[in-house]
Parts: sequence; C-alpha cells; structure tokens
Amino acid sequence: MPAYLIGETIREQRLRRNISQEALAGTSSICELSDIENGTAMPSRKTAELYLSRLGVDLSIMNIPLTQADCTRIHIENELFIRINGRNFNFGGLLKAYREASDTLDSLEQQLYETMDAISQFQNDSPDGRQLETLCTTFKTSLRRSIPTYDFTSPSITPYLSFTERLIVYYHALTCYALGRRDDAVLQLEAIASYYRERLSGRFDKTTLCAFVLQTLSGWLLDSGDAAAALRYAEEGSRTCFELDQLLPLPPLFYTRAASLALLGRKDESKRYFSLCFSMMEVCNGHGKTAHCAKEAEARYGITCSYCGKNKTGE
Amino acid sequence: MVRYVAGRDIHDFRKKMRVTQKKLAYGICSISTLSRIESGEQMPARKLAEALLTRLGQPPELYDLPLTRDEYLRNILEAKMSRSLSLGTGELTDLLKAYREIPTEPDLLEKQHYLCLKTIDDALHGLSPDKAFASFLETIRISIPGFELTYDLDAYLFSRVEQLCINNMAFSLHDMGNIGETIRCTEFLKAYYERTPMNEYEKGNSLLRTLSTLSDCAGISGDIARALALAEEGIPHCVRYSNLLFFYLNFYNKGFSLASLGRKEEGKEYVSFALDMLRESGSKDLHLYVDDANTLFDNCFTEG
Repeated sequence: MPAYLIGETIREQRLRRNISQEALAGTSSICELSDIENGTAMPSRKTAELYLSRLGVDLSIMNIPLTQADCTRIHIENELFIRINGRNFNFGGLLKAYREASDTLDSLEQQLYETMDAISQFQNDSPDGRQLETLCTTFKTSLRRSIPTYDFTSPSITPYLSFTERLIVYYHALTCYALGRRDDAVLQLEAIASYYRERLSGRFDKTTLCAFVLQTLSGWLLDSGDAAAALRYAEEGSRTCFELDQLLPLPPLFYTRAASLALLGRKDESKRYFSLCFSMMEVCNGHGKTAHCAKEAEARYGITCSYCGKNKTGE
Repeated sequence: MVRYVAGRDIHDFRKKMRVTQKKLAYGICSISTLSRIESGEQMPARKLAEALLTRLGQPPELYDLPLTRDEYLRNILEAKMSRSLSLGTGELTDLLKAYREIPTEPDLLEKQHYLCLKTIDDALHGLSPDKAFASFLETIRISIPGFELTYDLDAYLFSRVEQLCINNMAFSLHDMGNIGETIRCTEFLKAYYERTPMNEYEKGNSLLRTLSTLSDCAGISGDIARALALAEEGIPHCVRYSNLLFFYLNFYNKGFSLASLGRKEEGKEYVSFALDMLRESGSKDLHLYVDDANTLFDNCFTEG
C-alpha cells in the first residue's frame, strides 16, 4: 500500500473544512500549494507545518523525509513551546542550538528563531521604549516572512494563521500595548480571539495560547473600564482553561472576572471568584503577592474574601 | 541509499539511558531488527517506533515515517483518544468505533492499543473490575510475554501503552477493594517514573497521575499523614506543568486529609475550593465528590 503523502493529507483536511487553496495559501504562492497537494513537490518540514497548523491539524505526523538537523530542531521547538506554556521564558542555550543544528535556517525556521529570541527579550530584559519599538518591528517583519500583506492596523484576520503566526500576532499586540498604543493592541487581540472562536472551535484544535490571549485581553478591557466586555472574555477564558486543562492562565482570568463582577454590582459572585483566584495564586505566585492582590481587591472593589492559605502564619 | 533518521534518535536515547538492545526490544522486535532500525537501514512500523521511543521515556515523534492513509487516521484517533481520556470528555466510545471502522487489518501493537482503551471504556460502562484487570493483563502480554505484576523495577522497560495498562490495573485493583495491592502497583509506577530518565513533560504528567492515586489510597487505608504529604507533593508539579485537573483534585485530598487530622476549618476551605472548581469545570462526577465530602463535613455542601 502506498504511503499517504503529506500533500493528500493537506488537501483532505482543507476540503473537510471547506477552505479554498487561496485562503489557505494566503499570499504565498498558490502554485506551490497545488504542487504539494498533487504530490509533485515535497514541502520542507516547516512548510508542511505551516499549512497543517493553519488548518488546526495535529502536527505529530508529517510523512516527509527529514534530516538530522530537522529532528534536532523539532525537539527544540517542542521544548520552547512547553516553556512558553509554563511561563518560563529562559530559553537558555536552546536558541543557539537551534541555529547551529545546520549551516542554514530556511525562511520559516528564521521566523521561528527570531520570534523566540524577541519573546525572550520582551519577557526577560524589561525593554525600554526604544527597545520595545525594535521588538515591535521584529515581530512585524517576522510575520511578513510568511504573510507579506498582513495588516496590523485593521486586523480583520482574513488569512489563516499557523501556530507560530498566531504567537507573533499575540506578542506584537503585547509590545504595542507596552508602547501605549492600547486601542490598537486591543483590536489586534480581539481579532485573534475571534479567530480561535470561529476557525478553531473544535475541542482538539485549540492550543494553550488561546487561554493566554483571552486572559490578556480581559485584563486590558478591565483596565480601560469596560467591565462588561472584560467579563465576557474572562468567562470565555475560564471555560477554555477547563476545556484545555490549563492551570496558569486561570488565576488572572478569575481575578478579572471577579473585578468586573464587582464593578457590575454582582458582589456575591465577585467574592466567589476572588476567593478561587487567591486560593490558586497562593500556590502559583506565593503568599506575599497573593496578600497584596487581596488587599487591592479590598481597596479597589470593596470585596473581602477568605481563601486557602489566607490565615497561614509564617509557615 | 536512503537512511531514516528516526533510528538515530532511538539509538542515542538508548545509549543515554544505558539500556541494552535486548531489553529495549523485548517482546516487540528482534535484536537484529532493532540494530537495522538504529543504523537507519530499516524504517520501523509506526507502532513499533512509538513503543521503542516511549519505552525510552520519549514522546513518539514520528515525523519521517512513510505512513499509509489508514495508519495516519489511526494515529490521529489515538491522539484524540488519549486527550479524551485525560480530560474525561466522554467521547471515547465514539472514537473507538471510528478506530474499529478503519479497514486495514491492524498490526499487533495497534490491537494492543485498541484493547487497552476498549477495556478502559468498558470499565467506565460497567465491566466488572476483576474482568477488566484480567483484560489489561492479557493486553500487556501482547508485547511483554508472560508479564506478571511482580514489581521488579529491573525486569522491563514499559512503552506508553504498557504503562497505561499497568496504571489501569491499579484502578481495577482499587475498584475490587484491594487497596494494599493498588498502593503496591502505583508505588511501582511512581518508582519507575522517578528513576527512568524520561522526557520531563511526559514524566511530569505521569507522576501527577500516580501521586493522585496514591494519595487517594493512603486516605482510604487510614494513613492520613501520607495522603496529605502526597497531595502536597503533587501541587507544585501541577504549577510546573500547568495542570488544572490534578491541581484541584490535590486540593480536595489535601483538605480531606487536613480535616481528618483535626484541622477541620482549614480543610474545609480546601475541599470547598475543589468542589467550586469541579462545578466550574462542569464535571459529571461532582455529586460523587460532594457526597464524599458531606460524610466528613456534616452535610454542609450541596451540588448547586
């Protein structure tokens, strides 16, 4: 029996979702996608991943010949994504090993490499205004390696986005927000949130980034004073955390949820979510930070609650 | 000449773990086949590659295997089934049906995977625990001939499916009321995970499962201090691997243990947190936890 070629996989998954070749290829060449689907061209590792992850398909099978460098890079990419999910942005020697796995990086590997490098700078180095501008530009040019026409200013998200592309849009929005372009940043994240809702609605399609997007977005909306919208996203985010079995985005989501409920005058519910939030924070973020946030909840929202570990005395 | 890179990884991980070819290949392929796979001359079958890699504690990366369409479909279904299992989404029965309907004859290791999941599903739908136990034992013997639960850490390496069988044998023992043996079996898995140099992520999730089972059992058998210690051991792992489900289950066990040790008010907060979280998650098992909690906390919890 003949091997099931990668191109057939892509075509079958594309047709199952009723997506045209134009929509999937976006602005990259449709001829290339046709050739791959017809089996006359073999995609590189990252090109196969690009199409499959834009389709929301599990990536663990590709049916393409790999080099030893590809294998090394696959392991490193997996490790990087695990660290991002665990909120650990110390990528150590991983990026260096990634670059050195072979003499060259193809365009999509370059995209991943520079994105991860910029993420680690953004999270670890407390960048100042000038550095933030540079990072913002890096994310933008990096995304345009695969989507040359992506429009950051009015993100209606017509193109299909791979996992790496969604990650870039997310971090681009974070840098915009840090630079004070808040309305812009909110628009960009809302586009990603609706992308997850509409295009990746299957239980097995979403990735953990979805929960972080909703967490960030609800926090921003709360800060801008739009409690109703913040609550909506916080609720969607908490549901996503349970659906995906994700712990870390949940405490901040519950915080936003509780704060929005308080602003909307729903005090009992608010108290409940603050209490759940602080019980989790106590373990995830430590006693000091939790006590600080609990005080803030009291001062700002007039809600006092008990939670696991509240009364602990110098354990 | 074509050389396959999957074998290179298998060779490297095996050397790193200092395992002989004989031990790695036991029951699933001959030593000479493993040699050819490692040198890149031969491509392993899909499930063989998976078994070899997971016996070495690595996630099965199968990128360059030339799969047939049916193998590809089976692979997707297997991934969905394991996710459905860990999230308790109740889709297992349907997924198993789809798996059965794939026309090509499954190979032995595919049959093993199917039987393991089928038994889990049957056990969820009323198969008696002693029959389930016997079925898991038969299933594991497909790849480890003559396997018995002797708890010898040096005897075998276990693939992901083999680990799943042993883990579920522990659950069957639990449902038979044999708590002592459940503890032995789970302690064995815990020790296996702790000493095998596994991929960290695989290890974290496997450890969480065994810690939670052990904490349950310690509580049932009256060793409350140990139940508390095990629940507390699990919590930082949950934070590290961002695991939500075991996080609140550990809180439940912690609260239950605290209350049993006389720290009732403190314990109640933890149990109350866990029940709230179960409610938020929409869990179908909420009433079981509420009933259990009410035996200890004077009927103060409700499902609503």
